Amino acid sequence: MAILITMTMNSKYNSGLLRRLTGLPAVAAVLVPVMTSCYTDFVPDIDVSPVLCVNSMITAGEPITVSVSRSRLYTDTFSDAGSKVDDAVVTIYANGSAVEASYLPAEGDRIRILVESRTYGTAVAEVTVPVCLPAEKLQWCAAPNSVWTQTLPGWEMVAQITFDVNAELTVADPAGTENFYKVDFYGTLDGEVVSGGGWFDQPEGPVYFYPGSLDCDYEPIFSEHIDLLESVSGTTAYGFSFFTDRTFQGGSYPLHLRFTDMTYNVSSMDYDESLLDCEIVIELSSISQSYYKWGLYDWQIDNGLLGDMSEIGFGDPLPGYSNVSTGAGIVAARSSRSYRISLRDFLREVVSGQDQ
Amino acid sequence: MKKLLIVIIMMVGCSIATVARNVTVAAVNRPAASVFRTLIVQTGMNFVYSSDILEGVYVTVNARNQPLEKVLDEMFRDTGIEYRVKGSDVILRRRRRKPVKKTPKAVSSGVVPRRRPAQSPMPELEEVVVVSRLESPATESVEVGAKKLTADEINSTPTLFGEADVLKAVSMQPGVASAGEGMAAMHVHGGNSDENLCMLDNVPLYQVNHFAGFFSSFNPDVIRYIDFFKSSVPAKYDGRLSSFLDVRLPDNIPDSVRGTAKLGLTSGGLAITGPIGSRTGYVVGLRRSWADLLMLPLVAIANSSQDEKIRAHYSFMDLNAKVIHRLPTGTKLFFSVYFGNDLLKSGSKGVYSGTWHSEDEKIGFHWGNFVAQAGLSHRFSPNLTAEFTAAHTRFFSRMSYSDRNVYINNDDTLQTHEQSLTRNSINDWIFRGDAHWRPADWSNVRFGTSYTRHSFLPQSVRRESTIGSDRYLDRDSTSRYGADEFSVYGENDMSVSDKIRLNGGVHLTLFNIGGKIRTGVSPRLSFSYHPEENWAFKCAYSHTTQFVHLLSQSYLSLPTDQWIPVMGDFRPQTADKVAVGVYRQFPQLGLSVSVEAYWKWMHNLIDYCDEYYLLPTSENWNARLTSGRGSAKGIDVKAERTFGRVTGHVSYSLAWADRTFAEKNGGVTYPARFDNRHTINILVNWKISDKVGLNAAWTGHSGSRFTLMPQVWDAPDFGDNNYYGGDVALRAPLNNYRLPFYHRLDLSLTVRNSRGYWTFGLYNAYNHLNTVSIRRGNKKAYPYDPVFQKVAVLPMIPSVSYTWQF
Repeated sequence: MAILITMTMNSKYNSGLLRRLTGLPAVAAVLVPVMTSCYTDFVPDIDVSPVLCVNSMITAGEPITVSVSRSRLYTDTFSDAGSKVDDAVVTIYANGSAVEASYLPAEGDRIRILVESRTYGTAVAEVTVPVCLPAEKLQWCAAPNSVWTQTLPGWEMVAQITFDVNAELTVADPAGTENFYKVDFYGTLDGEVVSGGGWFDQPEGPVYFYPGSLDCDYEPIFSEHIDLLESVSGTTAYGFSFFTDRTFQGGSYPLHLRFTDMTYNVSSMDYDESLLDCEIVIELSSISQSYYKWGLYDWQIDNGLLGDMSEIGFGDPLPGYSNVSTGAGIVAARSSRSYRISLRDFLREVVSGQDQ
Repeated sequence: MKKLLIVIIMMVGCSIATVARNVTVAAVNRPAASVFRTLIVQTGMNFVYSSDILEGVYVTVNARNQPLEKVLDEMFRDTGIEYRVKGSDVILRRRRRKPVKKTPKAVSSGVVPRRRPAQSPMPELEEVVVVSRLESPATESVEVGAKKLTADEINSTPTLFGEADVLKAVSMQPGVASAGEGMAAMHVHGGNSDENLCMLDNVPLYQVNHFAGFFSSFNPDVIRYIDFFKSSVPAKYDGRLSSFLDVRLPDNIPDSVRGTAKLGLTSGGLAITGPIGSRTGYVVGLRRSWADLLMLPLVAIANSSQDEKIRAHYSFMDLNAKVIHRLPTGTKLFFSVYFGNDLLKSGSKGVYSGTWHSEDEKIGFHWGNFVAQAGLSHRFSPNLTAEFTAAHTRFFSRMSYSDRNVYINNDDTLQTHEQSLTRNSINDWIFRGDAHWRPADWSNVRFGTSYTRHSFLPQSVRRESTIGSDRYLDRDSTSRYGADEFSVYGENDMSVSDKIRLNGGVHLTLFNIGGKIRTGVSPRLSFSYHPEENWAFKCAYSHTTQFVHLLSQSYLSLPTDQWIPVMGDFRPQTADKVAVGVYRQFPQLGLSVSVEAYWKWMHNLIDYCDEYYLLPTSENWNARLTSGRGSAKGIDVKAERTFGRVTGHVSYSLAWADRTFAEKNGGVTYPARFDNRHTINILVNWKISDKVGLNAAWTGHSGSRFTLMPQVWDAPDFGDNNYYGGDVALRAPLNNYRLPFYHRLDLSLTVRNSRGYWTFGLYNAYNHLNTVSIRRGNKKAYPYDPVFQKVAVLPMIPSVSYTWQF
């Protein structure tokens, strides 16, 4: 037993599963001695051949960009040069015909990307740019969580507000095909984008606007991919805003979107209506199946249990999803529509209401 | 098929009686029961005895064409056993000093009645007792790849934490691979773990593991014996592809109350058997783990200095109870119950200082098995016995999650409550009749029928949340299926001559689900040739059909595992297996040697397809599955010594196993995970003295197959919120890498005293850290340098237990 305990103490076990198990202390207490592992570095004796990797997101109305690299050994120390391909030739086909790099794909286009390299062979992938369907309607309301204002001589606008926004965006799904969707959002301040795609860039000025985060657990359809194994362990849809039309094919579905922890701070000596000009922009995208599967794979690796299970030898390893012929890379497509929620009136009401 | 049925019917119907009273037999210190088989073959006589009186009885006899009585005299001299020949029965009992008036409690060999002594005032009794069909040594039986394991053999196999384990003992047999380090689940002749039918007194158990698969559900303290079939399959059994394991509880009415109480590191147990009056007997066994008690101080320490108080509870238990009652007519009634479960509770509760937030999280898992059966055995004539059984077997799994939060914000209080309940179960109601008919001394006909009503609840999920006064139902889905399974079987075990034995049979099944009927026709044939005493050549063919399969996303046995009936466009899984064997006994050495070869073809196998986790969730599981085929072949060599101070066996297996699925591995055939090319098992039981015994088990095998993905590619940057960059594993051929050779030595030392015995165990005695997996990690010295790492799990683990016998 002493040896067992010693090994437990010395273990380098730090996988996501153990992190998960800290939420399941009973499991941890019982299983950790069993699953606490000893890791030994080694170099497997296995032959490999690098293959071409092709990544591209094709967006209706925007030029096509293609990223070409090659696969490499996991043990290769990361460097850009390590996966560069110098002799790649990329050819883009739209609906069967080769097109120039400046070609702007349209919804419904069938795009085929062919990459040829004398060193690494050929890679090909194909995707159809989905047709984006307008949402039927958008309704929303905002509710302040906390409001703080102060009246200072010479300062006409001083406030700190945190608030949530609940929106209902009704999606109309065409019948007959399996469709995939994704919801994204970003915030704008006086027309300038202040966040999006995981980044946050606050311009200098009297206003600080942080558009919070999308609570994916609030909308059940974002959890439709969660399997039994994840479900019983309390895994949530955190950060996953992909969904399909499986449950409402050919019908409409009201998406319940909750944006939480939004923050609006203002400190201005003059009252200026334009300082209230904040927006949340919701992007509803029709996406290709390849993009949906990539998102799902990414979620599995980061949040699902399967990846953790495989890492300690209790499950099958999860290879990366790819729709490229070489098994490396994703060629995806999307078409998006934007829906704007102007917070000007809400902010004015809160700021002025508190003043009173 | 029609011709085959005609042949089988002819075999079943034929009867030619040949009874000889002179016998030729040579045995040195062999178990008495095994010598009986020789005598039965030569004389056609039946041996009627209580199974307990022959425990530890070894006989030495050397006779050539001698009268049976003379041979029996020689056999039982100085053994304390006497016999009486009555008609075609040889009735054995313990030698008694004075006549006993009470009703005999002895049981019979299962095919003939035990008759009361003539002086008894009671009318003659006829009782049927089930005994293993594998009593006789392999050189005399017709089965290939079959093995009877006694409770002693199970208990003398060293295991993890000193927990004697049926499945781990079976895993020491050649051709059987353990599912993983320290685990009880097994893979037989290249099959999957759900292809083994585990039964408790002939009733299927679906969940046969505790603690994620590290312990099996069978309490060894109440087991009488197990029959294990991996090549020849009696016609009685079907429904799985790879093996059949029938775990039998005591079936007799003991003379007095006896029992054991055991206390070990991980569990404790109590087993009692005894009579109630002269006609009723019982056996009760209870085993329960201690993990929850061991965790109490750990939890208390963890909770002593933090705002958050954690909850932790894990335990498993098994309860077996069986009552046998013998009517004056000889009819035997029996009723048994088994309940085994795992219970895991965890969570936390805390008021976080410095914030206005409190949280109460509860997670509960409860899963297990319930089996109840009642039946009667009756003798209709001296040559015809039958058993009728009604049984219910239920696997259940219940998983709940609750998270209650209270936020206090100024004067407002917001309460949220998120909860989910997930259930998964399978309920079977079974009605069956099994008969054993001896139309002639050389013919044993077994036939029967059964009906099973299956109720599958693969998944029921209800998830809801409450925020303030608003209640949201996130998910409420239940999928439930019913199925009817009807089967008939018949087989005839014939001694065609004194050198040739033949067993032929067929098992027919109709499986109805959703109005779609699937059929299973499973013929069986075994042939043995005994050119001379102690030699046997055998061959066997078996076809098996499986209508249910297990969906599991992990190698562990988890409560999320789902038993699913074959549905939609999928067809029942089937397997054809051919096996041949050569068997030799060396009575003077107490040694038996066998060489068996097999070739198995599996069809319509069902498995998850590639990237199934990217497809709709398990409510639409058929979309995630793919059908394919597999094959396995190999040779099992075994040398076994069954008497003397040192007993045990050495076995070697050479094996291949592969799979081919249209939607896995690009349709290319790939090696099965347990494609262990070479396997060596050594089990030694050394009786050092009457009080001290040492058991050692060494196992070594080629490493299991593993999918190693050595390459990565650059993750795309699609501007998502959750883009973290990094590498993505490049798909590689399935099971492309063989893990390093696995080897391990387990030891146990048994020291007896007047009240019981101590058992000291040492799992992985020389602390060899076997590789069970390969992960992608980073060098310890250079945390940014990626490196492959071997994952090892279980080091040397000592254990101790004490068993009190009374």
